[in-house]
Amino acid sequence: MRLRKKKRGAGTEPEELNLLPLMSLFVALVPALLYSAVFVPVSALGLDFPGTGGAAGASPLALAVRLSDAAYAVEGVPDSAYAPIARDVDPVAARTELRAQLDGVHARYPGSGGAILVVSPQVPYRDVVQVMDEVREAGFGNSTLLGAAE
Amino acid sequence: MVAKLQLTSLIDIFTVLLLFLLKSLVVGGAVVSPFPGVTLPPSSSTASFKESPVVVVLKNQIVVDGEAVCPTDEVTQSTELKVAALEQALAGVRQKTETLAEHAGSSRKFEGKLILQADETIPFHVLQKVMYTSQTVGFYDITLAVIQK
Repeated sequence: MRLRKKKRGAGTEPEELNLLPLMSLFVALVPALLYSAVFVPVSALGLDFPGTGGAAGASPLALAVRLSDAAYAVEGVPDSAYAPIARDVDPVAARTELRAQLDGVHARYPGSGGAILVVSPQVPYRDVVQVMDEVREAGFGNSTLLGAAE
Repeated sequence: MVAKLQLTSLIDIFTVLLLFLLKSLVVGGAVVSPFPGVTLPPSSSTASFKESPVVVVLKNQIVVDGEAVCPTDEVTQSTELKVAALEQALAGVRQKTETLAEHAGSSRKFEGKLILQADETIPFHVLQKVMYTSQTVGFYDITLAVIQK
């Protein structure tokens, strides 16, 4: 006995999907998402101030990074003296070297947190943020900003 | 014969738009957009903001909550740490927040939080004056706004 497959829907038109509920959902979702979307990703960078109980105040290490127009200098590490890094010739290489010094300090004092940034008056804000990034990425957390005398 | 609306292409557009918007969605924290004319410095920080008043330091003027307060040149040339016009504007913001807190209960109380949007070329001594002035009015918790790298 031969079984014959019965063709389903033969001779009828394919059923159309009702897309209107999906459309209504999209119409509600898109404005809601547009409202809370950020097209230029702006993020927050925290900082501490002298005397406000920041991480640098509580740290056993009094790490300071001096930032002038011409150089970076890491100070306040016991039994160590780091040579200033000239940053006016090759700023990228200087930042890499600063990061290496900071990584070295953090490896020796892993429990320390916070660093004091002593910034010269004419240094642009962009450079300050770059050093704050290096300090944070080396594991020291937020920086405390301090203005250096001219 | 009844004409049917072809919705498939519109659904395609909405799907792509939805995916793009979901990618740029900020979950938690306040949404902060850069003030027109300010070039924020890039940073690797990914932290989010809390709802706070915004001080913008542009190349030519200082703005508090959308209103121009004083020219930046004036602050650059000043030898004093405190900026009188900024102090007055921030005191007004603080008073407004405290008045709102009285009427709305403790959920909106003054917490001393401030968002600072400064142009990346501004010299540090100008920012130092702005931050010092903000602290004299009681804004001790200052967060810098940066562009995520």
